[in-house]
Amino acid sequence: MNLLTIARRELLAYFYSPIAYVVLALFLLIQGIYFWLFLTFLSQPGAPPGAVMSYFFGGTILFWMSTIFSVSLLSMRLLAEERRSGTFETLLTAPVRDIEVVLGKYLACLLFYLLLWLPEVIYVALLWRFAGRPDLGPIAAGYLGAFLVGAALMSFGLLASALTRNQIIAATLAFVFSWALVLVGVAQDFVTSQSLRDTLGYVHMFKLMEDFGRGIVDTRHVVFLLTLTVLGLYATTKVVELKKGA
Amino acid sequence: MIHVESLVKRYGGLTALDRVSFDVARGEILGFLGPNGAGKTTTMRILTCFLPATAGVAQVAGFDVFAQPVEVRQRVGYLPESVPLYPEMRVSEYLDFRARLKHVVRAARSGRIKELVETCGLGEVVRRPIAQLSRGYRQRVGLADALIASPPILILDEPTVGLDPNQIREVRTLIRELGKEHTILLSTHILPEVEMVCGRVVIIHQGRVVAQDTPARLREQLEGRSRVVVEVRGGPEEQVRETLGRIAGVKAVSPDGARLVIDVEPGKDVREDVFRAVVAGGWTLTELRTDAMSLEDIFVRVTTREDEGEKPVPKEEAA
Repeated sequence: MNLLTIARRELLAYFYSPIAYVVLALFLLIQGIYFWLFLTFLSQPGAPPGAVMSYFFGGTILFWMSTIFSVSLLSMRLLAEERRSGTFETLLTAPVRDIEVVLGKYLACLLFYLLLWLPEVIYVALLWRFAGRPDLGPIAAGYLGAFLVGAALMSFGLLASALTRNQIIAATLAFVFSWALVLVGVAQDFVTSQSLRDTLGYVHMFKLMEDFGRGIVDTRHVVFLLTLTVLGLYATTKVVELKKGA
Repeated sequence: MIHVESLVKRYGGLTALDRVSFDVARGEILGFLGPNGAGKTTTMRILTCFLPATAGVAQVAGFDVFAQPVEVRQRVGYLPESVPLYPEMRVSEYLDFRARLKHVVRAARSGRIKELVETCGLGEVVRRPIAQLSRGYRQRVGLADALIASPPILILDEPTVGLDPNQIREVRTLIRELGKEHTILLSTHILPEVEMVCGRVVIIHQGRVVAQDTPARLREQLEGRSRVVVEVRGGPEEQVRETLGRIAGVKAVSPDGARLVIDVEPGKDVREDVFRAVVAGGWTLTELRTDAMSLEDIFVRVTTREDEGEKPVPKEEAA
């Protein structure tokens, strides 16, 4: 109940702030350009085989650029602004638990993130109408992957926002955290030890999104992303606890 | 309703609270008085479970602030000093959000908000975004928020700071009114406020409780050391001071601008002796009056005792 009250206020706050509209507009613009690029590229003779939407979700760095950009900007305000303005004190002296505050805010930014992806359904509709019937399974898997990846990165974005009073620093931290998480798997190509290579393979976000894009929902991927999410939220709650009154 | 015992708070090497103990009884308005940085806000933050204490006991409505924070918060309405609010929300939206957060039942919510808009004089601004409100209105929104769940205990940190004289009077009247139904702990560094509003005072200085009693009794205790203020013309100050200092019952004579302040032993009336001494010296007495100690003097006395011993304090400094 507290959680929903907080999420509701936070969602409303998004619509009061210009940042959210800017993110929404830019995200749609960039995603539209990507879609057009992939469509043009794949329509050329001699193009590699593959579905548009699977490229849209995985296999290129483009997905990560727009996702990380929007996650950083959507999460930066959440806790940093409360601490800067002092509303942190009124919020946490109300009869709520720290975890409810963290989860409420998290829920709000996750819903907004979903909102970013909602209009992209139109691409599927376009394909359906003009390019024959695409296979819906991989598309659904791609969406699931985009959601889970967003959920994981967003929890670290929230953590970044808990660590500072400054929104710009929060966004920068979120950006760094996200790229670090995404790129850690890439180190696979640079290590020689086989066991380390295998381990890094589990956390290889590029490959993981490629799988989702192709329609492969691997339980290991899902578990990995959910684990990251829980870890991020747990760390955020601990930081909120520590930052009280500081 | 509030029980604080040997509360200690350290920030690194700095001791913000040093074994602070006091109690607030049900229905009492307790004034928490002290200079800026004395530890008032720290104590209040501990009582609202925002800040953990280093050691000691703090209970609110019978619940321990460390072990049962949610229970405590459910029963406390807190107005922080800076009155933090969400600038993008409208007053009505904000109060609705706070009412939900504090578990005001749905059926009662809009009625309760209307009531508080009335009580706190927010009628004109209820549809306005908080960002547009003046300091006075923000303060009232904060107060409305503190009251919204009808908590039995109110903790108000400097509730009148930043208000204009009219608003200050209104808020004080409101607090006195609230004191009939709520237990109130309010902090201030404005002394007349305490005398006007509070039933009892805790004076805190450098993290320590230096005095606690009713304003009247505090004055009584220290009134023993009443003072006589004189203005004498026609004689060298040194000589006048020395002469007056020899009068039986006079403890000290200190200059205060053009006047001299004579500290008198409890229960003595030295005015006649002063008059005779001045006349005998061949000087002119242009003013002679007793000066009852205001709470302000007491405050200055207790908060400077440590640094300046028992030396009388010039009155101007207290202002």
